[in-house]
Amino acid sequence: MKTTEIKILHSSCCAVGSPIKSQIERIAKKNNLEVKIEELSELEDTMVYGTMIFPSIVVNGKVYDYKKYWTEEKLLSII
Amino acid sequence: MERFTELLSQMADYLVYDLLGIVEQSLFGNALHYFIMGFTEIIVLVILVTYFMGIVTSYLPMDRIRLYLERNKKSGFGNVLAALLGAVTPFCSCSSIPLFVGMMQARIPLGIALSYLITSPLVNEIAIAIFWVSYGWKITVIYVTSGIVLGVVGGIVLEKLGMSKYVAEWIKQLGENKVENIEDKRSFVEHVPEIHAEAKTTLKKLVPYIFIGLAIGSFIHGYVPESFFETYISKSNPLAVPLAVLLAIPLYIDAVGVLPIIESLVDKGVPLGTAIAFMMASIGLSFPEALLLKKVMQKKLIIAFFSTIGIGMILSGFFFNLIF
Repeated sequence: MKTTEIKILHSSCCAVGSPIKSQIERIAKKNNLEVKIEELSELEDTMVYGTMIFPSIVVNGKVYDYKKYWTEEKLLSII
Repeated sequence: MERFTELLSQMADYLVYDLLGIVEQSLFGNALHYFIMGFTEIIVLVILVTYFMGIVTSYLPMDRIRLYLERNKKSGFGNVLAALLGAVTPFCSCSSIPLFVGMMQARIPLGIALSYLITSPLVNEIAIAIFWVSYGWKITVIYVTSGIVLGVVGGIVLEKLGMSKYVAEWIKQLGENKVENIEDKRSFVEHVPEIHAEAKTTLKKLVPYIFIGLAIGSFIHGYVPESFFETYISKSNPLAVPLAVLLAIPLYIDAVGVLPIIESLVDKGVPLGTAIAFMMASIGLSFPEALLLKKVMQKKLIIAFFSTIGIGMILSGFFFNLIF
């Protein structure tokens, strides 16, 4: 069982603790996947990943635009 | 549009004078009537504009825009492009600041990135809609143009002042990165949930501001005597515009909240230029804005940034008052 490291990048004025986190956790649980989720919202942390679109998800160093991966099946395909 | 306003007026008549039984000529009745009409009108406009802009931004390829700006880095033309981009993107600073950092990462000159950052909050689509309905297209075009000119000139001036070294240290250390361009192949139907979600969040955020702004606007409309502002803020008073700009800095009202206030001020005889300068300053020069900018700029640049656009706003105020 390997743990997938996931980072959720938020824009600097939106609160951390978004439904995205619980959504990913739910999907992971359903499919017996181990995930470790970290949420970042400070510009200094989020801009390092080279995206300007928030919220975004970083899985194993690859950046995905959440708007394009918001459905359960699409999220499952990347984690 | 005329029909729509007439219908609204009749509805408000019925609500205030028949249903609530308030005397027609009373101050309170007058203010309440104004509030109900204004609130309905703005909410309808805001919903339309928010959804329309949602569609636009959903299809706006941020990465491709950045690439385009990278290829057109010439001072002048690049500034105009960036300011135009600032005018069409939605106004919340949360989305404009990351793009500003992204431009810095792409090694786009600071002046061009600043042109974007200045125009972005100043020219906002809801203000455009409300101006259009209230004052016609001429004033709307002049408002948009002045916001863009302010961005272009401001960006160039700040660049010439040698401000480039004053962006936040951490931005300078960010490596240059290339964004992968992933094609968006989704159909319109697939875009809809995203557009709807965005619009819903925006609307939720705006309603309290609209409410407060309109309450103030209605109060001015109902209780402040016609001649009140004439005495203090006439066109002939050269201090009026700079004062309006300075007074707006500690006030933090959202762009959409400030519009109804502006409208009732203009009705009561405040010159349009003075009112627009006040509006621009309350959006672009507020303390929360400064706090956000602090994340990406050093103090020196923030001060230069605020002074440059402040002066620009005062000048546009005078210019407006000359024309109208």
